[in-house]
Amino acid sequence: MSDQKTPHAPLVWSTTEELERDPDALARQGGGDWNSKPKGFQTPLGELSLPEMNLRRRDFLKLSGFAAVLAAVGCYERPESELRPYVVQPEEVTGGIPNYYSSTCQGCSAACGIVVKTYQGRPIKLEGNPFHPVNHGALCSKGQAQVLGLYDPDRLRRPGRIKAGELAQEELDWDVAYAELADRLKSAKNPVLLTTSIHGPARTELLARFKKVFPKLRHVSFEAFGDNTLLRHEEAVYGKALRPRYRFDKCETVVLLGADPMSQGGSPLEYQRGLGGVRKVRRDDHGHVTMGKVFAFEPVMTLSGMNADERYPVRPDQMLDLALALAAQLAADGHVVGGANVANIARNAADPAAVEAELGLPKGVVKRCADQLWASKGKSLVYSNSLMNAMGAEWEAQLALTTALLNAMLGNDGETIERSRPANQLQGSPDAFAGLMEEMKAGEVDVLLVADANPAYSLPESADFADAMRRVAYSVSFSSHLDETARLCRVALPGLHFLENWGDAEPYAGIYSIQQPAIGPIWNNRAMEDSLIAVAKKAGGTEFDIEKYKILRPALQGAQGNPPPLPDTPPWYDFVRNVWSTTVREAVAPDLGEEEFWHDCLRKGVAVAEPKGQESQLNPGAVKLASADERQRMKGKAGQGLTLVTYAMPNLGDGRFANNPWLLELPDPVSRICWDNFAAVSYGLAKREKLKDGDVIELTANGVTKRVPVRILFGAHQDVIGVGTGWGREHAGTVRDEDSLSFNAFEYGRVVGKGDSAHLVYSGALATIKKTGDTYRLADIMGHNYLKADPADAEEFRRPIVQEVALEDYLHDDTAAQPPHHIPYHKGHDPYDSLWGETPAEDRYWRHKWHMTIDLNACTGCNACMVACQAENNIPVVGKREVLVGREMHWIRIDRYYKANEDYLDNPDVLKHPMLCQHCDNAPCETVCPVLATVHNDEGLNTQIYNRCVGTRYCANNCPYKVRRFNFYQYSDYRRGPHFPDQKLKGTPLIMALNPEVTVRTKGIMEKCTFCYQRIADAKWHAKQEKRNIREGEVLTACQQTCPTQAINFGDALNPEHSVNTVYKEHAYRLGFKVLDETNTRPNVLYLAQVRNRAPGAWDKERQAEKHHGYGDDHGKDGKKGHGKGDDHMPEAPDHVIDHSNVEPEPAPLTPAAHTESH
Amino acid sequence: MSIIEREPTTTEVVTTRGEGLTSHPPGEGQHGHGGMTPDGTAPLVDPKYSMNDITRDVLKPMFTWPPLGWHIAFGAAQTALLIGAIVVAIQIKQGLGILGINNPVGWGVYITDFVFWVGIGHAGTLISAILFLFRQKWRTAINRSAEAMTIFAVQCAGLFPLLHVGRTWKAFWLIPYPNERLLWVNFRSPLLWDVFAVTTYVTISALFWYMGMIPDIATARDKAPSKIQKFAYGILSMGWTGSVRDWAHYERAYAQFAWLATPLVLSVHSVVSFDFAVSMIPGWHTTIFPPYFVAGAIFSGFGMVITLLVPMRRLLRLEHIITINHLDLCNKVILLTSMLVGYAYISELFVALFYAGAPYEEAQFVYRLMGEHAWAFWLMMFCNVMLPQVFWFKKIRRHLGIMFVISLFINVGMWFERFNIFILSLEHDYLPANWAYFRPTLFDFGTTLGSFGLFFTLFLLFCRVLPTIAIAELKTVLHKPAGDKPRERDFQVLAWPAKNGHANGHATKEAH
Repeated sequence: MSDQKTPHAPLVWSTTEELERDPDALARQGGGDWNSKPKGFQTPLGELSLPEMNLRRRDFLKLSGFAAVLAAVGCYERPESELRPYVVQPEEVTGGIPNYYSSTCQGCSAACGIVVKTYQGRPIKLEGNPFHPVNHGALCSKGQAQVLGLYDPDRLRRPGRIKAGELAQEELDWDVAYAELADRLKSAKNPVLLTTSIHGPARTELLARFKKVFPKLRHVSFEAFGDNTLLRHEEAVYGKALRPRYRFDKCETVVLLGADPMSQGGSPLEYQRGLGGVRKVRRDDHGHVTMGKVFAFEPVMTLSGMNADERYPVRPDQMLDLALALAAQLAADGHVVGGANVANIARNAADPAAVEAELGLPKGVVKRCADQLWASKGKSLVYSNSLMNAMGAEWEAQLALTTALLNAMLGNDGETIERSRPANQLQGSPDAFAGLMEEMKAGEVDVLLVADANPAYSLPESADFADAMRRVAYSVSFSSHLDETARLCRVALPGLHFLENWGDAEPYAGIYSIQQPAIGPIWNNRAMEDSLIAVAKKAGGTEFDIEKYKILRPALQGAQGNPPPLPDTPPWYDFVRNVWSTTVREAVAPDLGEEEFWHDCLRKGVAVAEPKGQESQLNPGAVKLASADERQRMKGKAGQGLTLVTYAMPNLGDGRFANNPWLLELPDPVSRICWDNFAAVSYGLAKREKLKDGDVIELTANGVTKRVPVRILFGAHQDVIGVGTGWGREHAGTVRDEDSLSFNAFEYGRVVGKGDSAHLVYSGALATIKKTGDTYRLADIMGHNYLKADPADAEEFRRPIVQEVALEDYLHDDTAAQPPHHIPYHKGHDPYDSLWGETPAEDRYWRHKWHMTIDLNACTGCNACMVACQAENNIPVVGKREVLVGREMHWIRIDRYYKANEDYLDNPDVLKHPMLCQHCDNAPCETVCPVLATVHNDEGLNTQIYNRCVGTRYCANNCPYKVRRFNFYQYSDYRRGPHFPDQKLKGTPLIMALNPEVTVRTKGIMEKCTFCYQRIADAKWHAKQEKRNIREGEVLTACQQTCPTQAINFGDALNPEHSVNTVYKEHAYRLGFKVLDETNTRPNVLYLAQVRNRAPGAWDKERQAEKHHGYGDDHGKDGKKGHGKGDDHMPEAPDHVIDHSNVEPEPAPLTPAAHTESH
Repeated sequence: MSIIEREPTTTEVVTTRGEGLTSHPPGEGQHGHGGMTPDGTAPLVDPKYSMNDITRDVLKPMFTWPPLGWHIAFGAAQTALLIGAIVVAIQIKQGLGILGINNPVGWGVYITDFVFWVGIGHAGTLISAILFLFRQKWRTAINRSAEAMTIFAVQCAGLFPLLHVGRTWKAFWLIPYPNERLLWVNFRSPLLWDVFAVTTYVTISALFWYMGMIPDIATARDKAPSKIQKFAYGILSMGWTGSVRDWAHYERAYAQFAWLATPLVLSVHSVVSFDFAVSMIPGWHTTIFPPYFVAGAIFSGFGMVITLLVPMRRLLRLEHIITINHLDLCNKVILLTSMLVGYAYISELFVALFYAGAPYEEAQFVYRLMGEHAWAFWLMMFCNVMLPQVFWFKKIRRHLGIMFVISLFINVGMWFERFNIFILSLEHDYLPANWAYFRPTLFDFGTTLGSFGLFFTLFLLFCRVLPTIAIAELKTVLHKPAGDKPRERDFQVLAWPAKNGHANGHATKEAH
């Protein structure tokens, strides 16, 4: 308790309320009165939470009757189920055995390769395609959630005319619609096709031919996160308007200037994978321990920023100064690859010391950053492409130029920035469309075709898109939903979900990714591509008169007897196949036969051609840096008051998945808020303005005023207010709360300039806030329901739950990350030896013993695992009201803690902690279950038998990790929780998304992580069939499979070939730790401590000092150290891997690698 | 009414258990009108009342139409019970989600209610069994109603574990019985021990209660004004004739039940406390729990005894039988047990904060003292430890109004003791990420209200259909100094009667 008064004691907290334990804070929050909750919430006695309790007389009588009947006859309930056999069983489909199809995720334009798992023709799970060079088998949370989007009952189900924003009742025949559209297009003077990014050889070819049929047609790509500035400066400085490929995976040092590549960018998953790899602790070629380093300078805490080794809050208008200071520092130190020309540009760009002072950065940061960059020149990357920096065209160009200059000085062009294989992702930008809108408003655009693009949502309010749409004579929407843009159109010809449709993608030049359907169209919808072909044919175009089955026909004709009739395939399929058999085959494998190549592509999902492009070097002459005065002019009033920053929220991105309950209930990785967005303010700003979480403010910027809830986001800049995108969609579908205060952050933007120079500005506006006195409850997945500060939290930092260590400390003492245990490790002594003589592990487990390791350093906290787990294990969505009560069902969750001392409250460290069932060998849940519903099996798994469970919840109470989840309602019935009884799964296609291998749980049953036992069982079965052991990587849990940074490893401890054993051996007493193992639960999940590549900071040192005293146990450290110097050989027997072994693994030298010494 | 005025029957005379009418006829003797015994203690029953008076007064409520007050109380209890039934119906239909429980707090108001009611259920058996064995004769006036309270309280308690499980309709799976599914129960689970402890306790208590009532039911049978009542009491009295053989068997069995029930008083709440002590949650994992829970149970049980007896003796006009002396003695027990639980609270705090050095436990207790639910802790301290200290004053101990109010506070305080232990510990356990705040809903209180409804419904029915006072036992203390040492003859009656035939002969003599 006395530690509470230590002036610089490090604090760890997860919510603001926890942090504020001082009496002043208490007083401010209402003196600890438990009733001082925000108004409009639950009463102290709770809340009548069900519609049924608005009891009318009839209901009352009904319930009384029901009560009487219940008392009389008892009750019995069993979920209904239906079995529907195939009428004609397809040859390749076997009941109960999944089929896998490789395809391409079209969730965003990154085009990751996926493998679609289908049961009896129903896709139930998407997984990353390990052969795909973009995502290497991983998949992000959005990608994982796409399978739910396929079955979205709010999708349009037929074509129709749109009247007053609704689909008209009368039917519209496809052919009628095509004929009408063809007529309109033929006679149109200025037709426009508006799409999101379109790439892929067949798609681009289709567009090209369609344009030949309608020569006047213009194709405009619209991406809310697109960036034209990049292309402009690329053309000016590198000669070609190409989007380079950023190779974070090749980097050792990354500097992020107000950018969050993990959430926003051409290929967020790929970037995330790369950035996670930068920070992995690894051994270099000489066996030395090493890791890369990430610097982040950003206005609000983002997903990328919270994973940085060093992170500093910087306002967006200061970002350019910082970039220039970095360049100047490099130039001043002579650290320039590109020669004197390049150096001269940067030499006097800015004074690093002055910039540091002005930005409030600690002294020497710029120098340290520059040195680190130079130390890994050619393997570093400076990245600034972000919505947060969207302060105006000139400004962005300057920042982009400076970033390009920095990368050129470091020799990164051609190394970590590849132009030989330019990216096709994230084509188009809001800018191009802003210019188009002028024409629309002038009534010059007479036909507009919209496919998936949703400018009505993602353009600023001031752009008045609705007005522009009214002046378009004829507009057709191919979008799958009646979204904000579609409802302004005249006709809806709904397209297909990518899992229903053929297609392709070319994320990077020469990387061809095939998209094959895994299910037939669920509704009476047609692929946009098919529609375009049909329209072109109606218009008399001959461009699409391709020979049907050009490839297949000879084979069919060569068959014995009568050739079978040609299957009735859509023309788009024939088109894709033709393009792939010709263009792609010639580029990739001209030697292969067409048939062979096509099937090879379908199997692999991807075909890679040699890069054809050229790397290009910076043209120094084209780099014209603005003077200080010009910079001042460019940034306008930004920074002179509260500055608005628009940032991309990782879960919803640009808002296109705002009807996906999985993503809506997925907590934001940084704030842990789900079901809403919010205005993010720093802790300092909140103090200054007397704001607290959930306060509703009126936020005004760019003339737009909205009532928005406030969330304190630690790590934000004090003069910045952040608004996250993707939320507040009014016409996304039915998954929205009527009284929700989530808002559309894009509306705060504004359009600057006209015509070609039109530009969308999202950040940098001066914002004013006004407290309304109202409050709003934000659903916080973590630490919800906190009312006030908790003095007990002072103890919290002493809880050895998440371990963290500075790299320097780790190199000097390989046990530095070990938690301070109550019982010291003594040599040859297991501190947790049971008094009662436990059965030795080798007697308990002889076939398999499943182990998991989670590398906290690699984990970015992106939550992809949560959605993967949800999809794999049929985990229901509970809805915002249930989350508010604290009943979310996620089997794996990412706990997020902040850590800082009082001086760093506005820039704390972030600790991420994936928490799932630890499958304890001594599981506390097992002993207390009265009906033996949770038992240990002989593979070390803690199993849960749903059918046996009566729901005493004793197991959940007794679980120290609180990873068990109880079905308080029949959650599995509902699409978005029991409070929306009209949104049942039954009767909608959503029910088809359920994994048939996993029991759907009914109300009153406990559930939890099973280590994906269905996958283990499958692998065991296959291994048994083939009379062999289970191979390494044969069992991938859903979370492990999708993890972008491969933070999770899983395997059999009794099988020496499984790499999980290597990790155990390497890290048993180094980075490895088990959570709460002093309680002798003996978990089977080993965490590897987070390592920060930086010199130990003030609070790090404090923490070290504290650890030496750990719980007043002054010999704890020494005991461990003595243990750490043991020289026994690592035993071969796996039981030492299972348990805390008596014998120390052989330590390998932890010599710092060369380049880590240099800083 | 005439039937009540009737002369005592044979049954009545025999019930004096060897302490004769003849030794102290009404209004006669050295401690007649003064109301005091020679040793200065007050007699348990005012000597002016005869056996006939006792019989008449106790049986009167059974044979008369209840007064308005009873109807009002019974109506209120029925309403509460109906509300509870509706809530339970909703809960079973919708799921446990209507309650305030959530992910860290898996056990909420229901388990609090369960332990609360089990605790209430302690006083009755303590009074009837342990005080019997200690020859505390003052128990005779209150043991019947206290035992009834026990039975009903344990019934209410037994309801909650059934209702709190997620699939109530599968709750019978907790019973180990051979079944075609070849499934068995987990004998390592304290919840299963609970099943045995509570069912054993309720069985023994009910049998003990019923058996002790047989002579009185026989009296009621003999006095019953209507044929239906005569028939019903006839069945219930199991052919009691009042013969010496009956009495001999009765006394023997009663003593054996008393010996059997005594360890159960201690064991049932110890076992209930194992639910928590055996777990590993900071704030639950405590070795002090068994004695602490037992003391608390006796404390809350006596609190409830006062809550019930004060209005009951008034409503049933039994002030002369359940005297202020009885209540005074109960209050002394309350004072003692209050200090016991107070000691437990403080030692628990001391160990957690200053002695154990277990950080999670320490944080848990700091949370209880100063956290967002601290008001519950301090309410408990006030009601259970501070307030009962006023019973040091005799005047307060004997003041009906004050003791009634204090007993209500004790009931509240003991409810919050359980709330503190169960819910606060779950709110803040090991990982801060798990922490949450528990808010009960109206449904939680609806079921709690329903349990009170059930309890009072049963108790009010009991007041009207069964003798609320152990008539036979009470007659043994008529006109007899309280605190008198048991005489040899008392034990002889309890001992083997056939050994020397003495008891038999004595009773026969008295009968004539």
